[in-house]
Amino acid sequence: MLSLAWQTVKSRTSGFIGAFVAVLCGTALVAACGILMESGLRGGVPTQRYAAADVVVTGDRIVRPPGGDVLAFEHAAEQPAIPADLVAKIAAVPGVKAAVPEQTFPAVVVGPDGQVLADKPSFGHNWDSAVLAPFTLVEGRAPTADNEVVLDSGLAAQAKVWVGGEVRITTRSAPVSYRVAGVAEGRGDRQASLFFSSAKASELAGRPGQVSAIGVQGGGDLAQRLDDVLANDHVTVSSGADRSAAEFDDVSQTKSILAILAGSFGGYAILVAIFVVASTLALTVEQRRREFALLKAVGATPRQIRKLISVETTVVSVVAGVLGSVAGIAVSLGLRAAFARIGVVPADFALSISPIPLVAALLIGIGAARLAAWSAARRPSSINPVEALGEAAVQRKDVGRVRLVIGWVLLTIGLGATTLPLFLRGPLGAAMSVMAALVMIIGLALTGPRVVGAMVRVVAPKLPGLSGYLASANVVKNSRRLAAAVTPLMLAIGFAVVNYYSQTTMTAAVQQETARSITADHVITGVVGVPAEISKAVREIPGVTASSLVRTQVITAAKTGDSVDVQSRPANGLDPTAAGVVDLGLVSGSLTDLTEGTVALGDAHAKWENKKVGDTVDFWFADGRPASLRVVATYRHDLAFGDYVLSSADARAHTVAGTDTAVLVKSADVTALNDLTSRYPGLAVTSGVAAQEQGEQRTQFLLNLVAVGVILGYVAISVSNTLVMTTAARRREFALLRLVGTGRRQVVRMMRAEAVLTVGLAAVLGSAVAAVPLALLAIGLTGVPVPAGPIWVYLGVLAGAALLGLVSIAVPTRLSLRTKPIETIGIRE
Amino acid sequence: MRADALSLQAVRKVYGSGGGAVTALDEVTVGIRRGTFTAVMGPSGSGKSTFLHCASGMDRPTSGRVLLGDTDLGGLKEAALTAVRRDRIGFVFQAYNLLPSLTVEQNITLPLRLAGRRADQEWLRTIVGRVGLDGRLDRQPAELSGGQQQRVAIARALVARPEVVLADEPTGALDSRTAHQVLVLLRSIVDEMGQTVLMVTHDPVAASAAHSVLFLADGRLAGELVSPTPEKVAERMTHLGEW
Repeated sequence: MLSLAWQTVKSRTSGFIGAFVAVLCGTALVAACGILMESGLRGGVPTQRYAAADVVVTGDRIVRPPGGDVLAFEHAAEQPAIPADLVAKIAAVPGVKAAVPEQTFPAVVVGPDGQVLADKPSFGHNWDSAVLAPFTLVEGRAPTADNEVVLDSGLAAQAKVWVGGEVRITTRSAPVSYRVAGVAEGRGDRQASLFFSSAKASELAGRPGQVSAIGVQGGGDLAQRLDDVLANDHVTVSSGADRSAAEFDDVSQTKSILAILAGSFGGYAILVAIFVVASTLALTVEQRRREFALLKAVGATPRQIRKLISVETTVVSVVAGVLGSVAGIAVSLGLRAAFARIGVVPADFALSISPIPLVAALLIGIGAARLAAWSAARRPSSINPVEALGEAAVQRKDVGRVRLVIGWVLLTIGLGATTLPLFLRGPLGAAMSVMAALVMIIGLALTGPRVVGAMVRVVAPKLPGLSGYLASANVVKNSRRLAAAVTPLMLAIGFAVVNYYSQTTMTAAVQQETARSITADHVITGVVGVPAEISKAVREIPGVTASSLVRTQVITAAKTGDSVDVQSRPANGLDPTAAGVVDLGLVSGSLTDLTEGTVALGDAHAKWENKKVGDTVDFWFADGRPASLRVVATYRHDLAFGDYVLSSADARAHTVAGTDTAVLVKSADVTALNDLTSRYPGLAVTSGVAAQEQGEQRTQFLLNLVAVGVILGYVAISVSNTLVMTTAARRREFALLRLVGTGRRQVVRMMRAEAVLTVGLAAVLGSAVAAVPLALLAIGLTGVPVPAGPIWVYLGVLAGAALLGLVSIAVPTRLSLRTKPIETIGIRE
Repeated sequence: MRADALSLQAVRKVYGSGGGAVTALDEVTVGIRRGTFTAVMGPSGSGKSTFLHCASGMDRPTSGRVLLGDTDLGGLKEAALTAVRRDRIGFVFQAYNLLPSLTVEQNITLPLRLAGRRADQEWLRTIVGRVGLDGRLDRQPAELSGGQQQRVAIARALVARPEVVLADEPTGALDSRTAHQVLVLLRSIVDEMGQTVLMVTHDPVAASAAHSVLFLADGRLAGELVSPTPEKVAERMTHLGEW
């Protein structure tokens, strides 16, 4: 059977190109995802501050609610501090040579031009911790006095100061002058580093009894032993490449995002691969009906036919899989570059490439192909051998009843689910729209032949001219073939449109509500945040109402059935005076009670959680510390402010920066504000506030775009495959048409009419399947059934799909017409 | 052993049901004796194709029995029927007889391969010589003329030493000279090798190559003609109506 299969593959190369390309691309995608996933675990950037530390101990950022499974966890956005007592505890562990506490706090140098040097993150530390990198003094000495500082050499050059000089530094305050005691040389330049004396650093960090991290030097399996000793101290013990995740916020975010993303994206890629391989195979198999019928007539059992198809597919998929796995390396590098471009991964994030994901991808690719072969082989193995005797090459079997029923049920469910955003506001509603559209698309794919058939019978007879007449006859008779081409195109259009516009609609709704809800006249913003003392100072100006605004996140857990759903969501910190500068759309309670230990909730969320004013609500702050706060108010404007509004003091206390995002001011007089901000470099008075980044949603959106782009590329390949194969298989038909007197141009025009019909149907169905959920989402968010976002994306998607469809049909048609018809007609099928 | 290689007993085949039902074969009883060359003729719609499908076990009669030797095909499951087709019946179709990706030799030995058996080299040489394909075993079907392709098909039909060879318009797609050669070949495998051949055709010249011709009309047997000539066959056909 193997040799038989091999021979078929060799001589029918064109028939297997579809499956070959599909497996190759699928394996490449899966391999790339595998590499990304592995990099999420092992990749990273070289450590800058901890190269000389074997192990780094930091606060545990993983929030794991009780009762959840392994996957029910969330990564806290802010790095929590750890108790300083742990230094002694770690130092006592056998094998530890040194345990060095490190303080980290925002510290920015004011440059010679009076502007802050904030082109990259800039942090202050205690000089003791310099040994962990190590930073070595190029000149000068360690800082000892409270007014002394050591700068890293890059920073010193930028600030144009040297040892003995004066430099102004702002650390959550107005700038203070320090004397440069020394200049130190370290490694890397992701961050600027300033070193203060230990006492001063503790004071500036502002967290008595706590440190940011502890660097440990020692040998052997130190990390393991520390893990055991510190098991109950809520810390993370990092070594090797993980140290950079402890050091750089973006790296640690990236690593968890990569792992999650690659997982879901990879799973998706596998599904698409199976789908695409199965459909191209089904097509190849359909074109070989007579061959299989002949095989059955001369005595092949259904099993032998299935085996033949399976072996053929395996031969093809092994070759394609090996090439695909290797290509996966290139794809992963490409994806990394794309992610770096949109800011999801740091530009210097290195991938970790090992053979494991490549081998896994190869196995998955072959497995997917076999699954696809299994599904494609069920039909031909039941072919009636009588067909070998017949002549007709028109499709015969109708769509299975079960398939139709499932399709209609899915369409109904999807359509029902599109109304969910009317009841569920916010990101969840947007996610539901995408889900609903997806369900509808699958339903439409299943019922495709019927829907397409019905539409074709209405539209096709209207095609003009002889070419139109022929095209119409073709598509009406072979609506199944047409549906095979329309379905993936429609899928691509609907998928792309829904994914993009649900997000832009959501973003626009948030912006709209933010603009409406901020009633302040002036807004003070800063390059590196606004020191907390500003809002206090502003409130002391007579006749002025003001409130801090702290953009932050909270992590919530909700029990849904047996599983626990953990997610981080946008939150804000406001002052009790906020009622004068923002309109929260209060439903109950009052903002004047919003002090430390209290919270205001979005009305819909409060109802969902069954909480009202006076109840206590449990969640986690941005640094992963548990919160148990009393509800003092509920409000409607949850798009602009998220579901949680904290007191500004609580919000600040759980971020590393400890600053306000903005100060909102209601005042007729701007001069007093300008006076105040002029003393703080980097601060400015403006008139508006940017809408809150939707945290995860924004990242998710960008990631979706990349992922959708890649998958659409894949779908595009399969669409053109399908079209090229079906068109090429019609050579005899073209030849016959020409022999009976149809002109070459008439054949081309006939095929063009078919192509236009294919693309047109896909555009209509794809748009329809996207329009319904988007319109309902827009109604749910803004009350108007018009999704927001630039129209050119929609037009671009349609144009791309149209181009793809037209070219894929035109090129093989023209190629088929090159040979003389009398030769073609004699060629075996 | 029965004298009949293949026999149909009161075979009835009805397609569809209710008012739209079409009776394709109506109580047909016939025996094909071993070592004979029998042609089945009839106008279009007379039930020729259905006759062949039922005789080969590709289609099941609505009622009646089909016996291949002593085996009642009606009593067999799908797998057993497949084995019967593979091991005991040889097929020659009008066209598209060969798998394009296999060589001539591979096409000929395909039924053996499907049965998991090795080809008997001596027998293979015999039949290849018989059908006149010496030296062409490594060719691809696309390199052969229509007549040569039919010779390959006949060799394949013989390779498993079947009890009966069923041919469906084997000369339908050939010019008259090539057709004649194929018919002579079919006749010779009957006369010289003792093979049993049943051929469905609508061509009086083709039919006249057989020992006897069975006529079908409206699903019923409408007579038999022994030692046919083209003229006699044509005359009978004219009586049966248009063809």
